[in-house]
Amino acid sequence: MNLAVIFFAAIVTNNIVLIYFLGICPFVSVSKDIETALGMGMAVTAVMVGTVAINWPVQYFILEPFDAQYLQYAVFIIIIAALVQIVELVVDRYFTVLYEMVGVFLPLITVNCSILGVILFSMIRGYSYIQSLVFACGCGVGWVVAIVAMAAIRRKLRFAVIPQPLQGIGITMIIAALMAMGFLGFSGWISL
Amino acid sequence: MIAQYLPACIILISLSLVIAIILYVADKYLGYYGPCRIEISNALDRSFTIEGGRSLMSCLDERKIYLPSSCGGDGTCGYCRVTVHDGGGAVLPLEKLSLSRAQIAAQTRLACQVKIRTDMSISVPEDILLAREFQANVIKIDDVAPDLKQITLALLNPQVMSFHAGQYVQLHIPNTDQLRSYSITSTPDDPTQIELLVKRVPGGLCSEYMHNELNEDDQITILGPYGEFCTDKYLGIKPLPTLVFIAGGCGIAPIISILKDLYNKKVRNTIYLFYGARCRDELYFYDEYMRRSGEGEHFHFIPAISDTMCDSTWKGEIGNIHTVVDKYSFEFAKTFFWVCGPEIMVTSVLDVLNSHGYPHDHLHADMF
Repeated sequence: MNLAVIFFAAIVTNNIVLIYFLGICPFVSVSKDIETALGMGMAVTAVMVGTVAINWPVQYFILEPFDAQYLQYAVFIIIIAALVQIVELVVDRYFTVLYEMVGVFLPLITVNCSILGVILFSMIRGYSYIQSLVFACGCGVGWVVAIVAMAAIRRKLRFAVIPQPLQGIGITMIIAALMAMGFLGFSGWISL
Repeated sequence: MIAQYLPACIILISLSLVIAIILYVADKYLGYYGPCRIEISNALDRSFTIEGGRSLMSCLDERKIYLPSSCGGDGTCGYCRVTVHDGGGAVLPLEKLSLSRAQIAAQTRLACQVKIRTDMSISVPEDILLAREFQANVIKIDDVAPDLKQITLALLNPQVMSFHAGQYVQLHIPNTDQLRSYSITSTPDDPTQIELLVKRVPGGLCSEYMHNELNEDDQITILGPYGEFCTDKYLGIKPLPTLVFIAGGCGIAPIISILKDLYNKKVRNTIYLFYGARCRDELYFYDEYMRRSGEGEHFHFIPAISDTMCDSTWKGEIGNIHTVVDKYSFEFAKTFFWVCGPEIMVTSVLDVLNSHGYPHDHLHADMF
């Protein structure tokens, strides 16, 4: 499959958060500020690409030859957790300002189901190594686009009059649903 | 059977081993910040060098500079405030929840959230530099109300605590690393023992311990004294200023100490005490303050309850205490306010006082 199709479809028509509703927890909790959302999105993208880069060879060169696919979930999750630890250390050391902004949320990436979702989609769809990396990159960018857009909308919401019961999570979920409907509008353009 | 699961075991063990080695190496090289010098600008003799990579709060704690905290360093209580002049990095999103814009602009940080990466220059509030760790013996536990106990502690080591009326201590909950803050209700006249008021909070870690498990003759560890919720610096002002105390429920605790202290000092200031609670039963020490308000013209006691259903014979003010305070006006230049109680009550009262236009530096607040 064309790499460009995989990349752009992962951003818009198959957006990991708005179409598959994966990774909703940090999408809601870290979308209060645009800068923080962007930093979190970049960290998620880095972990997505890194996870696919490591888990793809683990699947095809270790688990399958030894007939141990049933360990797939356990192995993938262990690798994701370790990768998040390393990303946290690297960000803490070399990207201090970014760490100050998203440091507290970084461990959340370990339990971000969109990370596991991306590698599992790659396996189910039988992508090659390069296709998997491009798909992970597209999903990461799609996640960034979604969370930054949400943060921008929530910034405007500070000046809106919202009924008491809908304030906070309630209005955020409604906005996410409206954004998802908007992204579905791209479905005639490109699809996986 | 063993042969069937052998590859899985080998894969998992090998993978775990490789990951553990990678993480160990990464932590050793990426997590090492070397020695960092912490300079406390308002106490130069207490500057020191420590290994970087840890939180500022834990390092200060190690150096016996006990910052107050009730969340165990999770960054939610907002008590461990210090001023970081240099080397603190950017303010974390979590800190912004506890710090106002003015505080952030004044370089205030939460020490539990500041990681030491480089040499730092900080200032610690003066009262915290004076705080010490005390071992204390429980000598008396009195039931003030069904849900309120007054606990008297005799200080063992050190044997004397120099404190101001209105300050508080942190109590270490045994077998945990948690601390909880309680205002001292006794006066500084007897520095060898202190009294604390402890209200039972259902499910509360410390209050349940204090109500259910703590007995006379038990020993506990306390840190303190802390806080600037004091009247001392306003007592010498001429002409005598009016002192207004506004308490909600158990927020009367520090005010009890202050009022006793003012009474002992025989000050001639005009004093108002606004005291709000849901029911008459929750207006602790009501009778004592009613009696005192009848003794002279200097002390005015204005109690209020918000729920008339629980006491139909109530003759005093009705409503939340901020609505009662709203009815009174005081002379702007010579009135000082101390507000203590639950967060919603304190913020509501401060909103009322701000709307009346009282100067910000005349308002003192302590919320829990």
